[in-house]
Amino acid sequence: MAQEVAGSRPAPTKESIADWARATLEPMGGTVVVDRQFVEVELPAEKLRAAAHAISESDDPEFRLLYDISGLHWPDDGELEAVYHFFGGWHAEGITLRVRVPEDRPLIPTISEDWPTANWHEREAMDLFLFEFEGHPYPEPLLLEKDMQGALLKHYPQREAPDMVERFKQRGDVPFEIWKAVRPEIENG
Amino acid sequence: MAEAVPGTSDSNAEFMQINMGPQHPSTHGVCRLELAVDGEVVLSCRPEIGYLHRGVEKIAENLTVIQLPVITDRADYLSALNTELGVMLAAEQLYEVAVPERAEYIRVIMAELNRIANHMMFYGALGTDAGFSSPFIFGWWNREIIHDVFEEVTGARMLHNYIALGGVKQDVPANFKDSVKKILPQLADGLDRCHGLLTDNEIFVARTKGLNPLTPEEALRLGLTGPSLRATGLARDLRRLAPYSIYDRFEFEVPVGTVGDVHDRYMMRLLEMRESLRIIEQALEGMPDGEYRGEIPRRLRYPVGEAYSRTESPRGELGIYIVGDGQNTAHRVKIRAPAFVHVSAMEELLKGTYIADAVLIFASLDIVLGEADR
Repeated sequence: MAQEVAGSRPAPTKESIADWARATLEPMGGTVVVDRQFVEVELPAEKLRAAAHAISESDDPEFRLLYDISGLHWPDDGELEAVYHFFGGWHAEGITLRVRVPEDRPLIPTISEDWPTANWHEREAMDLFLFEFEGHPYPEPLLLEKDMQGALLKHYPQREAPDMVERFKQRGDVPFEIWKAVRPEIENG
Repeated sequence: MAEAVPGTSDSNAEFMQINMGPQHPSTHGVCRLELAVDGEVVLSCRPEIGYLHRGVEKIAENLTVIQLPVITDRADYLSALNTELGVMLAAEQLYEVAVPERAEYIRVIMAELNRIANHMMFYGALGTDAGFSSPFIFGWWNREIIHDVFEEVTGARMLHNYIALGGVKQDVPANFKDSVKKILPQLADGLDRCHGLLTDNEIFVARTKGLNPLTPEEALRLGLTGPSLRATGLARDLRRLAPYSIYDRFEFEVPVGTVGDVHDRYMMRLLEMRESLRIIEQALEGMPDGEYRGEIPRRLRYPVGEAYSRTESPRGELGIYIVGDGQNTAHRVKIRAPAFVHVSAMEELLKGTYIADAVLIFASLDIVLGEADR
């Protein structure tokens, strides 16, 4: 098999990616921002899936890596933001998608159909920021337990340890009676 | 009749569910693989992580930039210096701090030494998982030599807290060049021994050649980066493709595999160590005297804005995303951990393989769960 060197294909420049984004993603309702580190596109949530699909389909410029999906909490605006970093597989340039949703209704369509790796990134964002990814194939907690969801929201206390007795009582999977039998000391707190 | 195999629509298949982990010795940390197997063949795999979640990103939101490496070190504890480098590159971009020449060279030498130490650990672990007990001792021996140097320089063996905003925390000791020059031939020799022990070992080759081959397209689709991606034949190395720090000044090859099987992934690491030795040699030659830490602002409030740094960590591509909002502590610190993506790829990689091979494939991606769970 022929070896391929990353960079051997003509790499797109930031300008060409911005042009592509203007031509492809702006008709979908996105706003292209170019004066940041990467080309960024701000989108309404309902257009995200189409945009992610267009990015996965595009061959010039190509983007083959979804680096991460990072949540951001803006309590002053009452909003959550999801930041999607895409990068090329054969080049190092990237494009970023940004979606803002209201804190109390953080609905975002899943992009895991076009981007298999998004599956876990979305589950992580779900755990940490309580996003709801519509149509996610397996929306189960990944990193955090069910009673610790939303740990990266700004109002979630960092230092306050959860009340263990309360946690055991609330846990659905193991009856509190069993915990008491195993660890008698927890009854006294 | 058995219930449907998870993840498939075949309701007639008979299967047995096996829990691999979380305390399984070959899960490289604490990870659980829920395997559905038909005899010895894996039908589906569902990795479960989170056992080692310590809230690194939450804690990082409550630390100043000076304190930041303390917690990010603990994410990928086997290559802490590489993570520190990534974190500080992002922070320096945000603070617009310049790094003096000497510090850049120290950073590169330390990061490359850490890469070798990490790959030696990989070598030992893969050897153990393949059923050999000596590689672990060999790998550990070489790693030990490097850790002694780390101890001299940073005071710590694994969690260094050494690379700091604008340079490094303290200058290297006076005998630094000598002690690194002393261990380079030892490491080269140790590397030869490693090769001799495993690379051409008939049993090892029979176990790993042709196991779990991947094309570059497939690997990218699963999000693989780093040596595991290069094993497929795609020479993607951020040190070459988007050079950070001073990597554009050194001559080194990017080893590339052909078929992306487990043996190729193993070879990538061993070949990379040789290149790391070359980089260290050149960096030692070029290391100037001077400042080890640049000017940093007196008030270390995070500027309003964001920075994203991408570095080639030993495991793959590490992304650090820092958002500042004018406070003493960051608004958000996101660690894009290669291991996190690699664990998620197990779901696809293990389909149709044997249970015994699952252990090897898992080891071949060089996963550290501390980084995956954060």
